[in-house]
Amino acid sequence: MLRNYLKMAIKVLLRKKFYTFISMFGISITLAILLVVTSFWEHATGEQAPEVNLDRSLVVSRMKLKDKRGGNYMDGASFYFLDHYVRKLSTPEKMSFYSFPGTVSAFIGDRKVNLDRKFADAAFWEVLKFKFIEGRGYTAEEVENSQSVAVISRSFKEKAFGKESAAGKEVKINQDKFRVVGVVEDVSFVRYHTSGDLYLPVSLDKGFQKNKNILGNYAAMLVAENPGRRKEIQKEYAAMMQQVEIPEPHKFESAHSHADTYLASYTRTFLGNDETNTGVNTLYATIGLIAFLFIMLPTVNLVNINISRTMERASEIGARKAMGASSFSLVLQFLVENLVLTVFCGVLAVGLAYGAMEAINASQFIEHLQLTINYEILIKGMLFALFFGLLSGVYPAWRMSRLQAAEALKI
Amino acid sequence: MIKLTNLEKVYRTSSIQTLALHNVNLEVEKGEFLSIMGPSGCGKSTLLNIMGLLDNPTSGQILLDGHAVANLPDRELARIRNRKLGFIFQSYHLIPDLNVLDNVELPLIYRKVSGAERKKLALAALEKVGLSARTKHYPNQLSGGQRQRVAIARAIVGQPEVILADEPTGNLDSVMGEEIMNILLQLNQQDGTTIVMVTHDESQAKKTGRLIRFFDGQQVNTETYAAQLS
Repeated sequence: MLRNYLKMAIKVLLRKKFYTFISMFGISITLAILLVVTSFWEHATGEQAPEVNLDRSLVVSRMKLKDKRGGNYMDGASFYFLDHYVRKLSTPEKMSFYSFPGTVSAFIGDRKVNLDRKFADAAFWEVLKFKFIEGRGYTAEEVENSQSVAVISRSFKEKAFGKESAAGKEVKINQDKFRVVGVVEDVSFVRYHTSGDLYLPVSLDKGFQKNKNILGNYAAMLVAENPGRRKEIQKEYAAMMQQVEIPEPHKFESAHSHADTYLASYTRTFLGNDETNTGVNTLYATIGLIAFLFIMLPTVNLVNINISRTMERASEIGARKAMGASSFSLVLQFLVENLVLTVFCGVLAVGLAYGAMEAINASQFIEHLQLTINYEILIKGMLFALFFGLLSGVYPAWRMSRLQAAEALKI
Repeated sequence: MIKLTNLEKVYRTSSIQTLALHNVNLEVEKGEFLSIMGPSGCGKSTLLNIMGLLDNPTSGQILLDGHAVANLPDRELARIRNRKLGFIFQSYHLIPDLNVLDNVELPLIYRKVSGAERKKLALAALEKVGLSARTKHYPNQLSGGQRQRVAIARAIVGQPEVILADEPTGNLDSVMGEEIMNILLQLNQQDGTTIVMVTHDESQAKKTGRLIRFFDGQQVNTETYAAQLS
């Protein structure tokens, strides 16, 4: 029976080409956009090298000082704060401190280029799994001794050294010279915890250890033994924050900082608060609502097309009932037709999304962006397609099946 | 075979009530060829639809092989239509997206007959109506007479006991009409299929065994004839 429904569905789609085109256009475009957006989302927040082990990592990226007049001062944390307080936490298995990227200028020959510079400790190369094209990360000893060593990105290496090896060579940034010890694969700027062109030992930061404030330009990644133990880190972190000495106590009344999950480290600033609300749920609810409304547009359109076709297919419905089709088998038939249509749409959408991603990647409008369709996104896309099929098919199919045979044959 | 007792059919809208059938009592014997005539709107097609379980009577009883069928659930009614009844319509009601062979196979699909068996039976039915050379054609590639022959093949493919034909020659010229009528007479006389036919054509009606005349939803006259092939 199902084979016949499928056969019928394909025949209907092939013979009603305009209807098929109109129906497929809306759904395919919507699905393709969703796939591209999901890929962006995965690219920005999903686990990908070098930011691996996100499921057992926590991020410290914000420090907020509340002043006594109700105002807030917000920035990253200072290296002093991380080194003085966070380093003493006992629950993380590993931790790394690093600065947010800052722009510096370098000369390659007589050409000036702007580079994103990041200061990081030696643990950075252990906690984050960069792909080394050449050499290695700098060591704790090199950091301790403030040696002028650097790890550079692939794109910077290609600009500065072309196809030649960079390891062991010198790069000149402003008046300072650094010996390249390693070259890593590029990281998109949206991953601001790890992106950069030039990675230098934290001890070369001019403000290193001098800034005794707790506000600064640094972040930390804390890695737990397993995902479940992140709660313990958060608890210890919260307890530690109670002990933090408030700078300028006559001016500020409290300091707030959190060890958050990767996503929460973004959302807390805009959607959450300093207490338990990280804003992640609000973000998911908002995204869910927007996605739902977005999906509903072509779905309602397809419902509309299907209902208006009820009259067009009345004769068929009447004839099928006369030949022995029950209402249930008609519902099934029309549902299969819709599902076949939406599965076609799903396949087309994957093709469109793939093309769009290739074009976006090639344009490099976001540097080092590499959008890809992965299996998870593909499955989500197909589930979206089936969801479309069911959502847009059930009601029209039910209406069609309810048509009285005698009435249908008169139309 | 089919017994209708005190059958009433009323169509109601918010402002008007129309009596389509009133106190119809009718019995169709097994193997009989019965024709129904009457002016347009007298209730002939309504009666045929109710006999074919495509419509419900407002009141009264329908017995099929001695079993009351008026209030059976949808699935059971579908099963009876599929097994016992075959339909032929004035407008053919072939499915335009399916070719001739697929159209004829349709009742067998709902009977869950295997693909090979379906094809065999459908080809035999098409052979019977002289259309075995057109199996891959679509309805819009056929003439009116050919379409009606496909519809007859579809009606007989499952070897139903009763064929209900609603003005089967109404859209055809006289030559084609004669051909279709002969096929129906053969089905009745050679295969013993019970046929109930609504028609406007007096000469065709007189070729059937019994003619019932309807007027304003009521049975007004019955005439009997010796069924004959032309």
